[in-house]
Amino acid sequence: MPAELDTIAPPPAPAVRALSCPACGSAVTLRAAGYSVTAGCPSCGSILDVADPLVKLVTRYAEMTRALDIPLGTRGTLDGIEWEAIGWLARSMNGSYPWEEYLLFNPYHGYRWLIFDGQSWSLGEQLTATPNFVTYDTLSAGGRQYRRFFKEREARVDAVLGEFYWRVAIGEQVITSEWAAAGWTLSREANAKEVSWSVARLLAPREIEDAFGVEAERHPWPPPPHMVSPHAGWLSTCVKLGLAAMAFLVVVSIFMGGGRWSDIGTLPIARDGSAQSVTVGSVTFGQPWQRVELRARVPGLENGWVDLDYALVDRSTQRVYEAYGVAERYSGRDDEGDWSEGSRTSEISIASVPRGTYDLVIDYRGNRWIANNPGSWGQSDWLATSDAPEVVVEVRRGGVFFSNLLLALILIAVPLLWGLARHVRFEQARQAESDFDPIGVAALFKESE
Amino acid sequence: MTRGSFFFGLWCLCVAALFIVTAIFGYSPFAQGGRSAARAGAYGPTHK
Repeated sequence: MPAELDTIAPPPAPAVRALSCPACGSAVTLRAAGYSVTAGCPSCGSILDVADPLVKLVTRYAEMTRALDIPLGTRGTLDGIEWEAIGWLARSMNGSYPWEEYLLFNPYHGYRWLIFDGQSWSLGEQLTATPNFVTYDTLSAGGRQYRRFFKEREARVDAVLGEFYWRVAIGEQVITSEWAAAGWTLSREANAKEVSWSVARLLAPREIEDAFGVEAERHPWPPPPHMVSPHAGWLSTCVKLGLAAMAFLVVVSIFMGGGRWSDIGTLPIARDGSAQSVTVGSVTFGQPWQRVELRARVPGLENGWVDLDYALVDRSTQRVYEAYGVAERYSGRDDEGDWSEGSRTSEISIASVPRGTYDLVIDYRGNRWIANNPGSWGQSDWLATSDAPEVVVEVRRGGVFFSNLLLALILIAVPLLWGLARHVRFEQARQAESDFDPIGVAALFKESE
Repeated sequence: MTRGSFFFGLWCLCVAALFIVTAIFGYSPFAQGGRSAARAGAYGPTHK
């Protein structure tokens, strides 16, 4: 028993009182006698004024015969407190967006509301203090901040059963408005006499099933205003995991970076553009397996290209690893001014070269670019004008392939993007129900109208 | 950690492991080696 209950005397436990319905004569059991002022007849649905010793008939509603999800009198435990369902209301926005409310009672803890919107259940409690405005669209209550969700609307009581602590009347109307936070809603209900505020916590399907044995939608759609995106938690955790994995891969790439470039030959290029072949080496690679990078630089290249066919030949096994490269560079002048494209350098990689000593056989040839309209290119013969046309060949044991790193980063990012897309879809669907503009990710990806 | 997070962690681990294996073996599906004379006949500026 809580400590305060040792010193504060509990309110008197309500007596159970049996009445007879003046409309149909059926027995009406009053479960919170002394607290309830109205009660509904479970047989004919008439509303009775039980505050009056004569039990007057308030509203006859004989046609209402409903099978409730939670029969009145059912007891269930929520948040460690046993509640008894004593009243039921069917409400709507003047006929549209219907919902149900069960009045729960516990003699030591008072009243709570069990609200069912057709898909999900919430446990509501009336506030004893007015919430404070944080900003024009945000209210604070109970240490929680709520953002506006529904504008003021007229809500109506459509049907009633059981007993209540105020005089319920079918057709009774209030102006409601609603704010939402993660897992919670804040509601304001006002009529000509009073304004009341209440908060409601979204119950997990398991929670309501365990308490009252009723089913709730596992994946309500559209989501209720206070439902937390089921993808948000996953996304939050996995973005951290993904970023850590990406950082790890980048660090590994830096750590496993390639060696230094080694100049293995400067090869003269024939001015007549004839094919040439040369063998350079030896080149030794010490790792069991490695990427081999070959770089060819042609300093005098202009408006032409150099074809390079490489054959890396293992001296011991005569196994050949082939690759092809080309350095091409063009420039000229046209109506828009000077232009240039291409590169005087060619870099290629050979994958998975095993340990060994290699000769590098290079077949190469310098080429001129002959344009249909030579005057428009402003080109010159690079093979003739260059002092000594040549190609400088360098080699190094390469590190990590950038393409592999890129592919790995994409593979890690794909599930995150998928999760983000689902989260955005959820938030868009949830906030689409609101009377106000979307915020957060739902606003970021909002289609322009 | 939820089951979804666990599987994503496992996925990251597999990708990282595969990346390290390819780095150790110097392998890439995108390496130029072996594509001899692939560009033959496609020379010249693309400038318009």
